[in-house]
Amino acid sequence: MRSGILGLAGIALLGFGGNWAGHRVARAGLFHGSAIGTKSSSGDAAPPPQPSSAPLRQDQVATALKRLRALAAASPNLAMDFDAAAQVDSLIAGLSAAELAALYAGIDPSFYNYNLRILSQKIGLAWVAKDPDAALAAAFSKSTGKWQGRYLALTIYGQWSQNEPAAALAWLNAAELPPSLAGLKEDFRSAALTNLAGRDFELATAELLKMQSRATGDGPSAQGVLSQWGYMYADDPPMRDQLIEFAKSTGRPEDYADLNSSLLHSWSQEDSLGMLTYLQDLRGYLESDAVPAASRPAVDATAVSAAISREYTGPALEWWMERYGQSPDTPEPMREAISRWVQKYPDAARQWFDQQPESPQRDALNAAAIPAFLSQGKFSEAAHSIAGIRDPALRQPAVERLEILWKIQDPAAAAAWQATLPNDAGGEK
Amino acid sequence: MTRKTKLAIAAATLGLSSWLGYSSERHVTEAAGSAPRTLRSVVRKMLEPESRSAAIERLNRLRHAAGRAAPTPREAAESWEIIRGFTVEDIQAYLAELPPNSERGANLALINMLFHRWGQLDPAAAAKEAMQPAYKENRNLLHTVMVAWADRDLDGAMRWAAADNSDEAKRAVSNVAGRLLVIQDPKTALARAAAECPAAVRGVLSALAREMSGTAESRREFVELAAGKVDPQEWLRGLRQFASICSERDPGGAIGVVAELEGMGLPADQVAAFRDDALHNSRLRSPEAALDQMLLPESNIPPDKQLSAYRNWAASEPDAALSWAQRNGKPDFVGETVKQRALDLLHTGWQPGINDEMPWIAGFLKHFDSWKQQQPDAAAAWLQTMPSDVRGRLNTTPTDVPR
Repeated sequence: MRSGILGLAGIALLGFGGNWAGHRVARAGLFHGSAIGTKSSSGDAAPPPQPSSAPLRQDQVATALKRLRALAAASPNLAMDFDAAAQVDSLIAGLSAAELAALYAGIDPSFYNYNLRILSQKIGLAWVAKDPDAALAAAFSKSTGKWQGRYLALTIYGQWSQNEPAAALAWLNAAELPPSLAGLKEDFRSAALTNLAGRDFELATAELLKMQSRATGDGPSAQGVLSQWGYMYADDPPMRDQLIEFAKSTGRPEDYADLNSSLLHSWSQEDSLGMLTYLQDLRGYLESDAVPAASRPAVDATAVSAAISREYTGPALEWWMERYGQSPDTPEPMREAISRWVQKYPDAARQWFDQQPESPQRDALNAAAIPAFLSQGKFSEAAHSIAGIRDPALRQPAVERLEILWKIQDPAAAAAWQATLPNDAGGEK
Repeated sequence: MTRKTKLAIAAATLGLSSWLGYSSERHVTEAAGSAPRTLRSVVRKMLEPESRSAAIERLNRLRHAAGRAAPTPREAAESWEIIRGFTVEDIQAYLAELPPNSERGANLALINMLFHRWGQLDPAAAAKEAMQPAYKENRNLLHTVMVAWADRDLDGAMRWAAADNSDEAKRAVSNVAGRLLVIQDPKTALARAAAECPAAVRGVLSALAREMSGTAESRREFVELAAGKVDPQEWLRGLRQFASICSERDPGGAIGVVAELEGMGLPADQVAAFRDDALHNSRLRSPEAALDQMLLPESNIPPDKQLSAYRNWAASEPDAALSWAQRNGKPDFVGETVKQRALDLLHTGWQPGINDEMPWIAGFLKHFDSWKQQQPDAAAAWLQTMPSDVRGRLNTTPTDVPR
């Protein structure tokens, strides 16, 4: 009898444990198949749309405009009034590009009239699929404020690219954009790609490779889009793996560096198994020769920065100091990470600096920490940290910065501190 | 039972439970996600009519195609084509299919439509459900129910909101009922709202402000309809919104409306409130026109306010602001902007070389270069007050300063 009860309890325990483990394994993405929607179903050659030469039916336009205005005027809120929105779609469905152009010109997309704005977007969406050059140029020039035209053009292109990604991207690649839109080409591509990765991975990644790197200029970059994908798919193991594989294969180390950063930032706390597995792979990758030597400090710094923000601070800093302890250089992501860490945990940061043996990298990180101490109003802590900086070239600006800000806040305390400084340690300029 | 049999049972239990856990987790998390399977959900699915199963399958196909992304406009329209034929039972069945507390765009879009449809069929029940803990964080839901309700039965929607009297109900009914009351009759809208649903007064004022900001005549009508007819705080709020809308319509001309309001005999504090908000919004929409107006002697804007407006503009559009300062002979604006921004940057922990491309910092660097060209002695003297790393950064290659 007793052994029977024990046996049943054991079975129940096994059942519970197995179920628990099954959940964790699935969440970590082990044994999953390939991601859905990865094949290019819509990326086949799709010629850019050409405006048709259908005649302009003035009476149709006048009737449609009247009915559309009436719908917008009567609806409490066209964005949530789905029946009215469906009627709008139905009214504009059969119109030609020329007729849609006339309608578009007849609606003022003012920000103070929400329904007219929605109406204008719907007409613009129908028109852009038939004549993108004209529709986007019209949207861009239809503006009462500096940013409104840009917003309107990006909105209707973004919506078109969601409906017909292949056609919208084919147009973007083939078109000699009208002069007013030329500066928006990469904004359009970025808008098209954000929602495309999960639907058509091949097309999305092929287009991403056409985008510039953030290192080469301002504006939308491939890394910006990859980061967005990282945030969207951090909890989707098949897509996450595909993205990682892709980002490592592009030949641009910053692609994976930025994807990795966004993945680590948004990884679910509940998936510790997946996170640990990933971090082990990450360490192996960083310590391999996969990243060119010249790019390694920046890539490593981006990874360590993300690990610090997820509070794996101790192991991440230890690894960093092992690799770069004797280097006087600290890449920008690392300086930013130290700054954020000091702002969040000033006491823990100060303790860590105190425990570090002297090294060029400790000095460099310490110098990066001073502005963060000061931004928190922690002048005494900053003075203590400055005393630990051995390199005069790094110590001097830190002393000057402390002097300026402490004098504003508490001149007497600043003067007392200055009096303690050795003659070669800065102070009065 | 032999040892072998026991081991086989244990292995089978472990394998089956692991597979169930694994499969259940994937069901919940894959694509757009789904509600966890329960005995109740399995029974419900077995008993549901075929037409409902087919509709649910079509909707699931649409939202799983979107996955983590928002639905495309085409998918959204297709989803509504399905949902607009739903009964209350269909709606409840599909809501049970969706993952709880999901923030994925595809699910949120469908939940909005489901509540809207529910609002068309049984608005009181839909409103009650939208205010339950499972949904109340999503304020759009009560709003979309109100849109459906007020569109078909404005009086009923206002009665419900007045009786419920919760903040959620007031928020949801205000703009919807306000707009519909104005559509029905702008002249009686305020009185009706005050009598039947006081929460809609604010929405009526907002709708009137939007409809009546276009001409001097309609603006006069707005003031005659609303000034002194509602609670003074509500009126002041409505007047401020009116100012924003006027300046959005015509950023350069909004300040001219001030004279109209004075002519209508509005008290000085109300005119001042209108002017402040009109100027503020004009600065956001068209900072150049706003600053041009502020420099006019008759505007009576003190220099510190002019400088503050300039600094705000310089933070978002440094090139345009610098061109304006040079055209209008305002190097002192440029210098003061540099001094203030440098201190702000030091206080916020800026380190030269980090995020220099961000507009806030890039604008500061451009302003310094411009100041150095226009007032080299003053700029050089000020630079000596900065830490050596900042001095080093500001002494490097000038940024692209507009001339």
